[in-house]
Amino acid sequence: MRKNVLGALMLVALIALPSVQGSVGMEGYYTAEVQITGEVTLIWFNNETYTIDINETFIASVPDEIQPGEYDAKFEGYATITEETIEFYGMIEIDGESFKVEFTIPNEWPDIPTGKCMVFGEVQVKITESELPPTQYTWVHIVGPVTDWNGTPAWGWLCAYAKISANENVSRAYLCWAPQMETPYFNMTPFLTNFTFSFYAAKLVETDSIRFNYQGNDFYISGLWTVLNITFTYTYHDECIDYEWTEQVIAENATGELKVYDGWNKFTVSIANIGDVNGLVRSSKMSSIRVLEGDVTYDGVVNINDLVHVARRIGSTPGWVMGEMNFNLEEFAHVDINFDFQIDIYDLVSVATEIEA
Amino acid sequence: MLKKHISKCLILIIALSFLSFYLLKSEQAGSYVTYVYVSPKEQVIDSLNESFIVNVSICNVLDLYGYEFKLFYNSSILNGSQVIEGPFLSSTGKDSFFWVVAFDDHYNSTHGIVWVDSCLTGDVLGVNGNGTLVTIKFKSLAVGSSQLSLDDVKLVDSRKNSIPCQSIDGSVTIIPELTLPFITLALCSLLCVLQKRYRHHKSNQVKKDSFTEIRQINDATLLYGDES
Repeated sequence: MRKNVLGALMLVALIALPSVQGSVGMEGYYTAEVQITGEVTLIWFNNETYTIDINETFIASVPDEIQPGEYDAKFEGYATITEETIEFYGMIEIDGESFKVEFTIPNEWPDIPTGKCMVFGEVQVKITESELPPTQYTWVHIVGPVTDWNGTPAWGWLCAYAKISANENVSRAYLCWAPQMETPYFNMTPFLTNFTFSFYAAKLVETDSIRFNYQGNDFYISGLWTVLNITFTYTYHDECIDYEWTEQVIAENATGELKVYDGWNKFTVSIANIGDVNGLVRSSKMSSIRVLEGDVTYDGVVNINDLVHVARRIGSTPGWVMGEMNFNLEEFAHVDINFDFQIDIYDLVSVATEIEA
Repeated sequence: MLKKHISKCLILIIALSFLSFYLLKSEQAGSYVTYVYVSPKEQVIDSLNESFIVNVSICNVLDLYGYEFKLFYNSSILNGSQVIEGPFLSSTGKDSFFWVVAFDDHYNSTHGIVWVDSCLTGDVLGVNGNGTLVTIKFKSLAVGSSQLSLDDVKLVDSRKNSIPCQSIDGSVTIIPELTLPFITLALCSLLCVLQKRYRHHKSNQVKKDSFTEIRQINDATLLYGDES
């Protein structure tokens, strides 16, 4: 009953989405054309400076507190200079409110050294509400544990992220799984001796279509997947554990589908020649504003709890979680946000950037 | 004719000078290296059970949002007692998160470890320049020397990109305390060494004298023949 109610609510939310006006993906922001003019100073570590005039217009998400108009503003950020272009990123500050911007201009100053430098400038900013009709995006984020692979009990984790609009479909999906305690995938040996841990990892490399309510599924992504068999080898020496890992391509650009069904409660990933990997949805979010991926505790917010949750797992790798042998991939993979098979500062930063200041 | 050659040479020299100046200037400004280093690089502690601090610092960094490193030390020479977040990351008043992943004198049978992660929070730019990331308090345990080796240093900017860097290790040398028994012992040892050297010198002198004598005899023999 609860599942049906949830499904109905999701459907209502989906129908209501196109009526959201001016939504650009961030709550409290609107899409605007921003024209920046004036002198900015490029500063290097050897205190060498260059001052250049810029006049560039770009699209940005501007906070609701800053109304369209012309302002004196401060720009503080960085420039990455190549022989062809200068790419700026940083913050524009107007009357104590600031917002992030990124824009690129052609490099018309051949004497400016290439590389990265700091940029500061007192500039004029003209903000115009974008005349382009605001793009209506729908963000979907689904995570959950794997329960079986072709009927064999398995441990694993799915993370899928999609950004859908009338003109653009972007999605990412990662999946890893290993059959539960079955040779040759496991080589469990007594503690403090060498051991290996093998598992499968699949990644959606090309999205073909993303659909809601398609063929009896609540959500559906089809595309091409790459599947790897990854083996971590752990060796003890001098009371410490070291690891190295190898990967073997099992399938490259294989057709596959992710299907979410049963009121957004179950999922199946079907990949050609691999079979069906089934699981339960732990958390599914669908929104007209950008869904945050750093909520690893699934309490609806990204905060210090999520940071600590990831921080406690730093140093973990598949098969070795929080200093212990652990072959339940879910324990590891739910905090491996960048899917690089190690929990480190990159995963921590992925959460930290999503914490509201 | 000669004048023409001289003027051509001058033009060439001037052109080359400008070119090299330009290239040098571009190279110096654009290419910088971010260093993560142990400070002070070398430290001498002259007593046992003495507390001292070692910083892990950074220089020439742009947009630092987060970092991670491991620092290994010889646990038979030093013991770690405290890890404190340095002021650099939160120097601009931004909120930061500091996490000690591991701080253990018994990482293995020979080494201890300090493993630290830290990052800013929120959608903000990183910090620039130079500063102290972490301060570690150690205690001297035994006479000897310990490397302070940085490993797995990872720097991340506000766009979650890796910042390339070079790490520079440090070292700590613990020397014996200058107590009265130690000074007496050291003086005795010094006297022994001097006495030995004197004896050695004497015996060498004797050998040298005999050698000179033999050589003189040989020379005389060669010159005048063996009259015996």
